[in-house]
Order: sequence, then structure tokens, then C-alpha cells
Amino acid sequence: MIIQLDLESDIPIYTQLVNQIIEGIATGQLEPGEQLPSVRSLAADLGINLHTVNKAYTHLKQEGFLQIHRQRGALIQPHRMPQADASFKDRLQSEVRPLAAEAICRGMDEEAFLEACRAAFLSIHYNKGGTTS
Amino acid sequence: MTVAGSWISFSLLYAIMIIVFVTLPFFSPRNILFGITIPDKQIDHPAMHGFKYRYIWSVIIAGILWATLIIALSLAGLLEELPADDGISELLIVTSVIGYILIASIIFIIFHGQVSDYKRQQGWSTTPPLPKKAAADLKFRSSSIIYSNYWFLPHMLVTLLGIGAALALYDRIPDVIGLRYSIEGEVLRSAEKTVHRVLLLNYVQLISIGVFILLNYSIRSLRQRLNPSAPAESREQEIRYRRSMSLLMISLCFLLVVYFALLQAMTLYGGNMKLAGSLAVLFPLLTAAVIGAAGFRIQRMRGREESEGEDHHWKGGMLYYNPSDPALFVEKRVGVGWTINFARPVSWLIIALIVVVICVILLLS
Repeated sequence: MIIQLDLESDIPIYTQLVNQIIEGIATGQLEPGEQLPSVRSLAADLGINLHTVNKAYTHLKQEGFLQIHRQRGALIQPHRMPQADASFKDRLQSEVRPLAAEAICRGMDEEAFLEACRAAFLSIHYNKGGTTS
Repeated sequence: MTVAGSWISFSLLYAIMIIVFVTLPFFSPRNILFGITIPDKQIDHPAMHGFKYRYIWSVIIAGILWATLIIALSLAGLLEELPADDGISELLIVTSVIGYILIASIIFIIFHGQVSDYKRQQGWSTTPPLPKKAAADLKFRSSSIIYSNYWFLPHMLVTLLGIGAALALYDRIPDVIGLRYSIEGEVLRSAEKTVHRVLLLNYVQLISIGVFILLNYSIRSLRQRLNPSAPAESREQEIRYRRSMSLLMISLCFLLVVYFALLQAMTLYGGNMKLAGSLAVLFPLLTAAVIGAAGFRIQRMRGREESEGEDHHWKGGMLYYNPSDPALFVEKRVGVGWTINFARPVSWLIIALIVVVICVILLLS
């Protein structure tokens, strides 16, 4: 699975890394229990700072998507993936809300907004077990 | 050592070193000259060809002058106590070749400086824009990018057979065994047999296998450098490159192990020492030819180097020193293979380890 970062984007690099790893898990390209490269080697491969990768891994561990072992390094959560609990639903609400507001300002109707959401959801969902690149 | 033999080994070794230095600038990524990044448009600039041309003649002429000096002084008997008709001593062969390596490296560094100055005068961009994108494959190292270390099993088998034979036939081995031979197969130095002396070449085999397994491992752990605009293609290219380097290391190690096994067999159980002598010369030549041919093929698989603006991290164009790079092994800019990042303390540990191993071998022999 190839990680691609935009180093000039407004989105912080560590967030891009977190998002892509979560997407990899969602599509099944990263399987539960699979080992991720070490912090040092991923930082060298991407040509970015060690701390950036470390921050992404730590964040993913706190969210429950990764396990960090002393010997085996970072693993994709082999047991139970974090579920859509109340706090996730709160965050989902608060992150979708500004986008919904802007969509309304820009004259988008409910159907079009939901269609965009559905398209994003399905493009990840249908990719499941699909391409490895 | 006889006169002819000594001069043959001197000229062979010397010729190989000259060839290595003459071809050195050609074993680089396309956009690197003497360790300096050249803009793509300027690769065929006449001045660049001029630098290469002058460099080649400089190392050849320096080689001829240095050899003439050594030969003249040695014939005049000024360098050694030995009479001149004994030929050239091994010590002098080694010191003169090391001397040539130093001279040729200085020439290389001078040309590195000249190309660097020329690049600055021409105002070719030395600090390109920061990279905009980055890409890396998370599963790079779990895919088969090298040949497995199981390929070293035949090497181990040959070594173990050698050890087994030496121990089983210990009584048949002469009580005094030769430790060093001249090119014609005369014994230069011998000693009473002991288990360690009999197994000396097996120790060397085991150390070589260890070193090559380490090299194979380092081919795997080297950082990937994917081109962010075509990550999938450059990933394929990297994998092909690494697999061929890995195969080269495994074959090279096998050649070495077989070479030592043959030497051991001939020194311990008798045999045609004349043949052993010529084998001792032919084998390194064969190995050099294999490296050269494979290196040349692998060189053609090599793309351009993506890391512009790193010139100042390459001291003299050859030594890599970059404290901000977390990688320990990096691809060489000049020559085929890898080098270490001298800004990482582990690299000094590795150098120390190699020196210790060499000293142990020298002390044991």
C-alpha cells in the first residue's frame, strides 16, 4: 500500500498519514495484525521527520487502530477495531456540520450533499479487498 | 617469490585498480558527475564530457608515473634491502597499490571540486525547491525485495564439508602446512599444523558468509526512494534493482566460498601447487569480471537520483554525512552499491567492527 503525502498542503503531514492508514484499514489493504514499518524506516522512506511519524502512530494507538509492541513494533489492531461510540458520533457531527453549512451557503440541496457523502463512503467500501496499490 | 611472478601480480593488481578508477564516474546515476548533481538539460554539456575526459587521462597518467617511479626505485634497490633480481616484494606491491588508490582518490576529489565550482559559475540551481510530494510503500519490506537468506545454504554446506573433511582427514594432513604461497606455488611461510591453522580458511568462509548475509539484509532495509509522481512504476524499478543486487551478493559470496574451499583442499591434501598458484590469480580476476559485468547491467537499471540539493552532504563526492537523515545505509552516488551515513554513530561502530575482524584474521594467519 503506497502512502502519498502532499508536503505543501494545509493539512498537517501527520494528519495525512493518519487518514491514509485508517483508509488502508477501511479498504482492507492493511489487515488486522499486520506489521507497519518502524518509525525510523518510514520517516527515512518518506523523507520526513521522525517525530511526525511518531505523532501519527501515537495518535492511531490512542484511537485504538494500532498496537505498539516493544519487540514487534507497530501492528494494525489485531483484535477489536474501535467502534462508532458516542464520542466518535459527536466528532462526526462536529466535523460534518461546518461542511454542511458551507454546502447550504453554496446552494447545495440535501440530496446532493448526501450523494457526495455516499459516494465517498462507497468508494472506500467497494474498494474492500480490492487493489493493493 | 620469483621475479616474473612478483611482476605479474603487481601489474595485475595495478591494472585492476586503474580500470576501477577510470570507470568510476560512469557508475553513477545519470544526473550525477563526480558526486555533483547536474541539471538534466546539462548532462550532455561539452564541459561535462571535458571533465570526464581529463579525469580519465589524469588517473591513467598518474598511474603510469607512479608505477614507473616505484619500478625505477625498486630496480635501483633504493626501496628495499632485497637485491633487485628478487623482483618486487609483496609489501611493496601492497603499499604502491594503496599509494595509487590515494593518488587517484585525490584526483577524483579535485575533479569533484572543479565540477562543483563550474556548476556555481554557471548558476545551475544548487538549491532546488523543496520536495512537494512524498510517497512510500508501507508493505515494501514485506514483499520479496531480496533473495532470502536460505540461498546461503549451499555456501554453508560447502563450508561444513570443508570443516568435516579437514577434521576427518586430520591425520593425513602433513605436519607442516604452508600458510602463504607465491604465485608459482612455492611455500613462502609454513608452520606446524594445529586444528585452528587447518581450519583457518573455513573461519574466513564463515566470516564472509556472515558479512554477505549482513549486506543482503542491508539491501532490504535501505530506504525506498519512490518518485511521488509515479510511485507504482518506481517501486517496480526499485524492487528489480534490489533483487539483482541481492542476487549478485549471493553469487559473489558463493564464488568466494568455493575459492577458499579449493585453496584449502590444495594446501592441505597436496595437489598441483602450480595450478593452485594460477587459480589464486585467476579467481580474483574472474570475480572482478563478474562484478564488473553485473555492475554494468545493474547500472543500466538505475534511474536518475531524486535527491537534488544534497551535494553538500557528500563530502568529496564519496562520503555521506547527513545528521538530519535517519537512514543508516544509503545508495552510493559514485560506484555501485551502498555506503553508510557517517553522521550516525552506528556507522563508526561498523567501521570499528570491520577493522577488528581484519586484525583478527591477520593475527590468526
